[in-house]
Amino acid sequence: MDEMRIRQEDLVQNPTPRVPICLCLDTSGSMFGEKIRELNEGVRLFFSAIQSDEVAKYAAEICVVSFGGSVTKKLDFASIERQNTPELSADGGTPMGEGVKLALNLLDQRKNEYAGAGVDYFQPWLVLMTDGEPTDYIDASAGQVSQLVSSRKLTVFPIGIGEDANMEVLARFSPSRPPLRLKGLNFKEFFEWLSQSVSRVSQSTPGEKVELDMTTIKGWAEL
Amino acid sequence: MRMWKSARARIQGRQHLSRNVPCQDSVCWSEESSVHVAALADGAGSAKFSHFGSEMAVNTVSKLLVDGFDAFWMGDPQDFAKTIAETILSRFSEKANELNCLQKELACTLLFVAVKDDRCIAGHLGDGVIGKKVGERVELLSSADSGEYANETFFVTSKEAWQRLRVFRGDASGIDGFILMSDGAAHCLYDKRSQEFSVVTRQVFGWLEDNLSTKVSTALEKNMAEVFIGTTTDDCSLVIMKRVEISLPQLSKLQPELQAEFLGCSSRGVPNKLKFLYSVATGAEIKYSPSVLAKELGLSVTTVRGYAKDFLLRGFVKNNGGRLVLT
Repeated sequence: MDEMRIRQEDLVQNPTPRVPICLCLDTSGSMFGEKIRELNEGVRLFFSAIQSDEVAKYAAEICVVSFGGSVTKKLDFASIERQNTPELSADGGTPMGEGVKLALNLLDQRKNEYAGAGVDYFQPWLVLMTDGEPTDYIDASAGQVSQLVSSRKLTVFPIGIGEDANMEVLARFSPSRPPLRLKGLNFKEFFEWLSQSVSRVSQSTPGEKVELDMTTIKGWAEL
Repeated sequence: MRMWKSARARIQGRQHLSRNVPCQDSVCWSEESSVHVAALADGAGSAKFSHFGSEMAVNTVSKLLVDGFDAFWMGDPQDFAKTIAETILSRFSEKANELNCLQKELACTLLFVAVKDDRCIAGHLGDGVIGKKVGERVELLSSADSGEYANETFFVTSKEAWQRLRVFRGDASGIDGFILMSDGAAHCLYDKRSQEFSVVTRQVFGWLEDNLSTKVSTALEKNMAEVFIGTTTDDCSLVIMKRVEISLPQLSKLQPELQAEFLGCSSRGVPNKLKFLYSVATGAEIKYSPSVLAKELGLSVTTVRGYAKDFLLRGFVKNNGGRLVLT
């Protein structure tokens, strides 16, 4: 039997299928103070939780778009090991429509890059968080998100922060399930749940329907 | 003289191990009526009974090919694909009734290769990879047909699955072997970007040249359990089939267990079968007569007739105008 031995180094190195995630975050003036501090802490925890997950750290690729006054790509897609968590600051209005538009473009570009490089990928994720309501036109981007979600080309997580978040507006981005309102400022709990969800999806095999862990949602969402 | 040898193995992936879910891949090798069939199916992760489904799929397709190779070879490939899909679904329907579940709970992919003489028929539905060995190279015969996303593919229970079942028919005379692998095994052995196979595939074909099929299957399973499992969390399965060509003097020098495998008998039966083949080799000019040959070999006429029938079926000898000759 000894002569019939396969060496690990003789196996091919196919890249881990990727889960592209865009965090599209409200950094308008109303987020100033504790909200933005907690959001920054939550995002840091998200990166740290993904990095400590053996499968998710090779699968998850994150980009961050902020909309506060202007729309900014705070962090481009890359392997998480090569990324530094961005520091977000709050200022200005809430150009949510433009923010989502940029997020969708970045997700689409990344998918094209995967396809060009022969890297498999899972359905992209869009996390949309706001504590208020948009100050720009959202019809086009809300319509595009709805269409992508309905055709199972995008998973969207619309999250309202605090009592002033307009949940009706957020609902326009989510045709299949209602948006959720964050319980207090439980950003950490939300991002921990999100990282666990990434891990579950990144380990799924063909035909496997990945159910999100709804039981732990109550740890961060008002239900 | 030549024969097709096969080895196959499957292992439960890390994920299924941790969740106490059985290995959902199935593999199968059949040889009957000069038809050699390798089949593999990968059960859908979400389907509760897909381990039953994959087993039924490989057994059903193997039987269909053994019974109907010539008809499939001559007929319309689309009709063939439809027959395969419909027959499997009909078996699934019976099983679903028995298990009181939906047919989709038995969902699986399907890969197969059948060879008769120098003709081959292959089929592929869903993910996984089929390779063929041509000379020293292992080349792609069929790659995965999946959806856009990594956890999507097509199953025999998918809508209009037969239209997704890709059928290949062709001349197998220049092909030394085939390798069928599930998605999990392909992750370790097939580079999607370069579309090249790992050197391991050539290595494993080589093992079949020099070892008993059963030993190669055991070694494959051991290696997959120890090495593949570190690279993928998915179930892994493989079926390889290799054409082995050998001359009578070479056969005479092999270890008894390999001789027995080649001749399809126990070690005790080897000397008489070898005597028969030597007699055929030296008496190629003499018209075949079971009674004369039986007398010459000191065997019963029934035994000689049995040997002749078996070797004709295996393609080791052929009837050349009433004379038996080695191939």
